[in-house]
Amino acid sequence: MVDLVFISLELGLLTGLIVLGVFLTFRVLNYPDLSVDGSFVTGAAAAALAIQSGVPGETALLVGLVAGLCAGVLTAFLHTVLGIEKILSGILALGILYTINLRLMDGPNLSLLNQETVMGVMQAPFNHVALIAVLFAIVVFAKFFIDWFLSTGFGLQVRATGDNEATARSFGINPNVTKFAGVVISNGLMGLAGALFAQYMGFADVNMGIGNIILGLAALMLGEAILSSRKIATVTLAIIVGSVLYQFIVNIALRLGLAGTDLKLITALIVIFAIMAKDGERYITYGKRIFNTR
Amino acid sequence: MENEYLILDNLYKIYNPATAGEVTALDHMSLSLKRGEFVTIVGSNAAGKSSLFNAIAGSLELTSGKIILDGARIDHLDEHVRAAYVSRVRQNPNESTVPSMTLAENLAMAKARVVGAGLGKGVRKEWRPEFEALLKPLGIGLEKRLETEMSLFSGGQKQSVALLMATMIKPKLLLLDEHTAALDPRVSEQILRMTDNEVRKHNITTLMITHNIHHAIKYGDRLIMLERGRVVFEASGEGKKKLTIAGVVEKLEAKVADFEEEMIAR
Repeated sequence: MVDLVFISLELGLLTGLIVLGVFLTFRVLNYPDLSVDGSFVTGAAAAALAIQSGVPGETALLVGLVAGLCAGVLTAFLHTVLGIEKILSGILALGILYTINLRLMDGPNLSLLNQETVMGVMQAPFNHVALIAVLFAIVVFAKFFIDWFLSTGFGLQVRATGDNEATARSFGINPNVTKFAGVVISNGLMGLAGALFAQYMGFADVNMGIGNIILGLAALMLGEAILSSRKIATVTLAIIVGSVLYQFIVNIALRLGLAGTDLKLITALIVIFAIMAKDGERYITYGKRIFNTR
Repeated sequence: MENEYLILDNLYKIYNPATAGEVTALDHMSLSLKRGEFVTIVGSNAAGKSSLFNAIAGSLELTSGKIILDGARIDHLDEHVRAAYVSRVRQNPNESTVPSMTLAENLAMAKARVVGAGLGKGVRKEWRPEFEALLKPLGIGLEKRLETEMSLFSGGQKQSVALLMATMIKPKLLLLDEHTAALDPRVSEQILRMTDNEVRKHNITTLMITHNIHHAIKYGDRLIMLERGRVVFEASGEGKKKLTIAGVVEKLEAKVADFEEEMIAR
C-alpha cells in the first residue's frame, strides 16, 4: 500500500513534466504536436548515453533537456520554415526522431545498470521520500517557469497566437516566432522528463515514449475536471494534481489485476470520457441528431 | 501628390490568373488620403473592399501596385511589421480582441506593438493607471474590470476595447472593417460615435468599410464606392452631405448592372 502511494507520486510528478509540455502545445498554442512521443525518448537516450560515458546524472538531465529542445527545433522548423501542417509536422518529426533515437542508442535500448544516476537514491536501499522531494522540486520549478513565461510580454503573444493567428498578426505578432518558441520549450520539457524517466527506470528504450500524448491529455483533463479555472497558474497546478491522480488510478487498476498492456486502452477511455463529460449536454440533447441527414 | 499621406497607386490583384476561375479583385485601383482624412467605403459583395483592406494591412500580396504611407513604401512589408503603424478592427468581436486573455492583457498586447514585447512582465504595473484612464471615458465601467477575461464581455464592449487597442498606439492608418456590423443598431451607433471621437481626437487617417449607407454618409469626410475592384463614385464636402441613402443605393445598383452588362457583352 505504501508502495502504491510512493510509486504513484513518483510517476505522477515525473509525468507532470510531460503534461506541462502537452498543455503548452495542445492547449496554449493550439498546436497538437505529436512528436512529443519521440522527443521524450530522445531526451532519455541522450541522457543514458551521457551517463554511460561517465557524465554525472544531474548533468545528464541537462543533456536530456537540450536533446528535447533540439527535437523541438526540428518539429518547429518543419512547420514554420517549411510550412508543413501542424499535425503532419509532428508525425514527420516523430518518424525522424525514431531513427535518430535508435542511432543514438545503437540499438532499441540502453541499460543504465550499475551506472551512477541522479536516482542514486533509487538504488537499494530505496529512499522514496528523498526521490519524491527531488521530483517535486523539479516539476514545481517547471510549473513556475511556465507560469512566468506565459505572463511575460512574449508569453502573451504566444497565447494570442494560439487563440487566433490572424488576429495575432494584426497585433504585430509574428506567429512563426511564437510557435517556434512554444514548441521548442514543450519538447525541452519532454526531453527532461525522458532523462529523468531513463534514470528512474534504469534504462532507455526506443518505445518508452509511446502514449505520452494520450497520457498528457488524460492527466490534463483529469486535472481540469478537479480544479476548473482559466487562470494559467491554477491550470498548471491542476496539471500536476491530475498527473498524480492519473498514476494513482493506473496503479490501482494494475493492482486489481489489469495487465500493463491494457493501460493504453484505459487511458484512451479516460480521455474520451473526459471530453464527453465536458460537453455532456451535447450527447443528451443532440445525440439523436448526430446521423440525422435532414 | 505631395501632401498625400496614404497613396494607393494602381493596386492590382488577380486570383487564379489564366484559369476559368480567374477573378480580378482589385482592378488598377488608385486612391489618396490626406493626413487625418476619414473615408468611408461602400460597395456590394465582391466589390474588392476586403481585398483592399487585406492588401493594405499586409495579409494579401498584390499582383502589382504600390502602397505608400507617410512617404514610405509599405507594400513589401510583412503584416506583423505593418501592424506597428497600421491598426485594424475586424467585424467579428471574437477576432478583434483575444478572447482567452484578460482586458488588461489585451491592452498590454496592443501597447507592445510600439514598446515591444520581451521577457519582462506582460502587464506592467505602471500601465494600469493608463489603461484605466483610457477606459473610463467610455462610461461603461470597463476600467473596473481589467482582470476580466475578454470572452465574458458583450460584442459592443469587445468592439469598444478593440477600437481602443487600435487607436491607443496612435497609428498612422486605421482600418475599420465593418466593425459595427455584428452589433445591434443602438450599440452600433455608440461605437460609431466613439470611433468618430477617437479618430478626430488623434487626427488618425482612417478608412472605414460599411454596409450601412446611412453611416457611410453621416460619418467621415469622403465617401467612395467600390465596384469590381475600382473606385466608381466618390463624394466629399457639400456633395457628400447632400447624398441620400436612396440615391446612393440607386447608384450602387446602377453600377452593378453596368458591370453585369459588361460581363455579358464579353
